Amino acid sequence: MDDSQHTGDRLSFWTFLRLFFRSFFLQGSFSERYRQNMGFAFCMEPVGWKLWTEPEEKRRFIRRHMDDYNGNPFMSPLVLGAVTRLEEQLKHGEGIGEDDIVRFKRAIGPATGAIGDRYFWGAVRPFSLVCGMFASYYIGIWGVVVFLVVFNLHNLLLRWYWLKKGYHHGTGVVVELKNHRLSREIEVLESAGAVILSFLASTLMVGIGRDSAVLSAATLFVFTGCLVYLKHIRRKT
Amino acid sequence: MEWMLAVPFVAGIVAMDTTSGPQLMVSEPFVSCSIVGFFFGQPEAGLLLGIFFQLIHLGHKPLGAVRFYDGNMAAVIAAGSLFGGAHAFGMDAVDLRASMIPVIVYSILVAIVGRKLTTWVRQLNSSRSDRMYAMMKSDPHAVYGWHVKGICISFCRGFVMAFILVPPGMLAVASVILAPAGVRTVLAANVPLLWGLMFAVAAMPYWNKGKRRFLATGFLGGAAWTIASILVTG
Repeated sequence: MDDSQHTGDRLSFWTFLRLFFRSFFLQGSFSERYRQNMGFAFCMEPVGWKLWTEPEEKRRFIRRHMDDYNGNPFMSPLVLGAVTRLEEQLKHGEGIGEDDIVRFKRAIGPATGAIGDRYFWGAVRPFSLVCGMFASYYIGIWGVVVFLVVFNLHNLLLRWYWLKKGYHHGTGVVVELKNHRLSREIEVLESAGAVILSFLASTLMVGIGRDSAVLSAATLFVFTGCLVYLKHIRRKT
Repeated sequence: MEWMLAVPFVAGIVAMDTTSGPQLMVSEPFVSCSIVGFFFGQPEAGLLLGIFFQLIHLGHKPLGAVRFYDGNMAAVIAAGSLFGGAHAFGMDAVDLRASMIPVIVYSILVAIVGRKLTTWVRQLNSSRSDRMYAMMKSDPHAVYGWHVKGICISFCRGFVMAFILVPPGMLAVASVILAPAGVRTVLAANVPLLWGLMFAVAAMPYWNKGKRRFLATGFLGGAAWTIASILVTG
């Protein structure tokens, strides 16, 4: 059965919401050996207790999700939503087995790591930080709020969007991982971040010249020298 | 002396937010140092210190299970040491600026300690996971409590780290008072040179991603803007 041809939402909005909030604590018990396994089981718990009523069914459910798992924490709702759909299909005998769920998790986790890490850690976070630091130059401590708002708008909206996408598409969610809009947005955020950071850098370093032109020149010299040195080290390694 | 509990509490939140959750980025040095500065009535100084540390860690990526130097804890403990030391030893603005260099050096040691502790907590969580798996046979509902304990362990790690490491940091900061007044003045006056180092470190990730043209554009634009505003205002 095509995962997108579902017979309507079966999960209640409250269970969905609990899944959403628990996803923020996926890495609560991050371990050396099993990575995010306990966190994944913790996030899925509300879904499991809705679907499975017998103690042995609950044990099997938790055991499935205590398997080792590692993925990007911000993209985890995509996987959680898809796995929720698969659990429903398993419950209703729609051709999904327990091993299918475990295999799906093992395959998709690293994929979200590759994309999500580049997007959130490589683009959104630095961009939000340089926006906040740039804003703080003009509006002081409120720059911190700018950073938190810019980052968490991405964080919260995308988490919710991906949770719904995952739930609606099930295993078809791999299409979302090939979303070229993310790649384009990464390029834009990296370019904008570079411009804002260097604008702030020169504003600060040249601005020192208001008090001392010598100190400003020395700071620019240190900046250029360090940049050349770091580039040299990178070329050597 | 409420700050003696407030700083470890903030450090606990930072340790938790760094990995365990909710990862809303309040653990970033830019935020945490501002909060610590706010407790001491110096939010702008905290903000400046936060920007210093943030520029060093701008390209930091805690990917997967990589063992990283704990820059977030280093920053918040450094902030607690700097402002706590200034408060306890009655340091003036010049001494505070001069203390930037010892506090940055101290933060490197804290980052190394933080990395070791992060590894230890992860190993602890591995054995906890094994025990929880065994317990599931009797109680499938156990996962909630065990996971929440894991989150609390992260908080406690940060709290205890700050409780133990802030006092020696305060002594390291206060050691600046022992230097001659001339040395302190020179150190304080040359703190802006650190901007050059910090911005170079922050720019490298963008340089490595091939964003040189964008870096150059922003740099020239900022310089032109600043020079123009200096000339206009006089």
